[in-house]
Amino acid sequence: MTWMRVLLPLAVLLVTNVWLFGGVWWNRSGAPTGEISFDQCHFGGPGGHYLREEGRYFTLQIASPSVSIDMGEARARRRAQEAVVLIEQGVPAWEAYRTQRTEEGETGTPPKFISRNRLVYADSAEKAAGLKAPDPDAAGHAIMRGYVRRYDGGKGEAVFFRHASRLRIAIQSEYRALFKEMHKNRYPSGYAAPDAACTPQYRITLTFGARFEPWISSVERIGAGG
Amino acid sequence: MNKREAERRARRIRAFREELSTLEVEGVLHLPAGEAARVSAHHDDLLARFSDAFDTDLNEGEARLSWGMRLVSLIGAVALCLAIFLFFNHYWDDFSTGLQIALVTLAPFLGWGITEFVARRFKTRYFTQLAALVAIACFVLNLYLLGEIYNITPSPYAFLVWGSFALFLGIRHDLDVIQGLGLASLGLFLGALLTKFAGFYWLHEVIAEFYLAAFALILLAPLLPFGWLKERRLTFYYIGMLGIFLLLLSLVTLSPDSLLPFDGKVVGWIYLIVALAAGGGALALCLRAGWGQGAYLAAGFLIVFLLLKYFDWFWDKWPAYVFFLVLGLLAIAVIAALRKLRLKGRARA
Repeated sequence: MTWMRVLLPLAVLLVTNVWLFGGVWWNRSGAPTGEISFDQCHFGGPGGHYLREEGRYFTLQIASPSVSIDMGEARARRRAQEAVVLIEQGVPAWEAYRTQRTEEGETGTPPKFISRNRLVYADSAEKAAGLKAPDPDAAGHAIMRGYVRRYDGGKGEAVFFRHASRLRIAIQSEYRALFKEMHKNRYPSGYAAPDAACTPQYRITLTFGARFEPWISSVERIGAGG
Repeated sequence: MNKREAERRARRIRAFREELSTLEVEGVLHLPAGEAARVSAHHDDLLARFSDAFDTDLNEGEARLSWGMRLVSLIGAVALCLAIFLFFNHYWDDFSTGLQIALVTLAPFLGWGITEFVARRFKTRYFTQLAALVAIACFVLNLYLLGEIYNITPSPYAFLVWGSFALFLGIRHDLDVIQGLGLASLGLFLGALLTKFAGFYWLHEVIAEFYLAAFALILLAPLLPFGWLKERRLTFYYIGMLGIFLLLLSLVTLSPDSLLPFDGKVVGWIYLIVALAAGGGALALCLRAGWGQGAYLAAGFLIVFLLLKYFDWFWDKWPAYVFFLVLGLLAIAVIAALRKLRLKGRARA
């Protein structure tokens, strides 16, 4: 009995770590469930992805249009419902979002807080099987675990916004120097340089695995003006 | 005999010796020299054996020192954990991802090994408690940092494994604080799991009833017919009560989401009554069972709860001097009521 007491904590450590690494292996093996690419000019600026100076991680910025979702009254009373969310890059979900924001009064060219990253939540469901098929015209798409949150619309009606659970993407050490360089060029004086002054030099690709968890699968140099 | 029984017996021996010497000074009782020497030698032998086997205190001075050591071991553990965290945070970006993964994976195993070594090398449990707390902190960092490195979606099951590890480590080395931490983590896991099963996002929605149910389960667990649960019942009671009291305080003061199908104000009143009943009931039960720490916890909860509600209701309505005057008068009324209760108890006895 004593040896069992000695080994039980060790067994918890072993099983947990084996489970965790097994999960990571399973996520990254097999066919990807999504892929998103963008260049370093998508960092910074209003609505852009946020890149930290030390190159440890960056945070994705994904536009979340307000939607009406029928959840039944009891469930809708609560705010955050667990869900899987579909993210699409570019048209037509992005254009629909721009139109919505413009109609809401956020006029201007481009409208305030709309950056060029063109990532938008296109759908949500309780399970991945309930999501609509990704738009074939979208430049990229991905499924992520997330939630749908209820807000009061202000006119006595409730609206819903979609969110992903984890927007922070860790940067592996082999890419850290590149991301530090991107940060230096993109934030020359501590603030993001205007989009017009940015020339795409790097293409960053995020791949999403079987558990819908992303990782940086490549960072390629695309050359000045490329 | 286990550690708790040894501690209880050692306390009884110390009280017996103290009272015997007082009776001797007052001239009420003088044991014959031979008998007194035999009892004293027997007690010395018992205390030495308890101290050797269970690190129990030999006298009141040592008992007081033990409390200090317990506190210092907690502070030391926090300081060591901070030192480890800040050291790695300082150099983290200089390490390759492979080295980061290796370090955070090995850390809890190393922490577990050091805890085992310290427990075998030193008979005093304070070093073991310190090492165990550091091992738990390493395990928390292990999952958190691997989650960050691999962009893993946060899961409530982390609380299950953290809690299980702490509970097993606490049981292995007979450490109440570590067992308590483990139970608290398991309570959070159960609450989060119920939230998740109900379809809500567990990281953003704190639905108090789910967590109340989880800590009520911990409180009632010692009623199950398992010997090891009954042996550790006070730790279960303490963590169950603490969790329930904190949740009730948050329900009445912060108004978090509730499952009750009523307006927020009605829910507030319902939980006000529940909190008073729970605090009062727990206090009465702890007093009847002679469990001092539980009674302090229940009384502390009632005092904080009533003070918060008093502040909530009257601070804006009354001038400050009236507010504090009434508070002072209330304190006098409570003392008078308790004194009357004590006199009644004496009369019954």
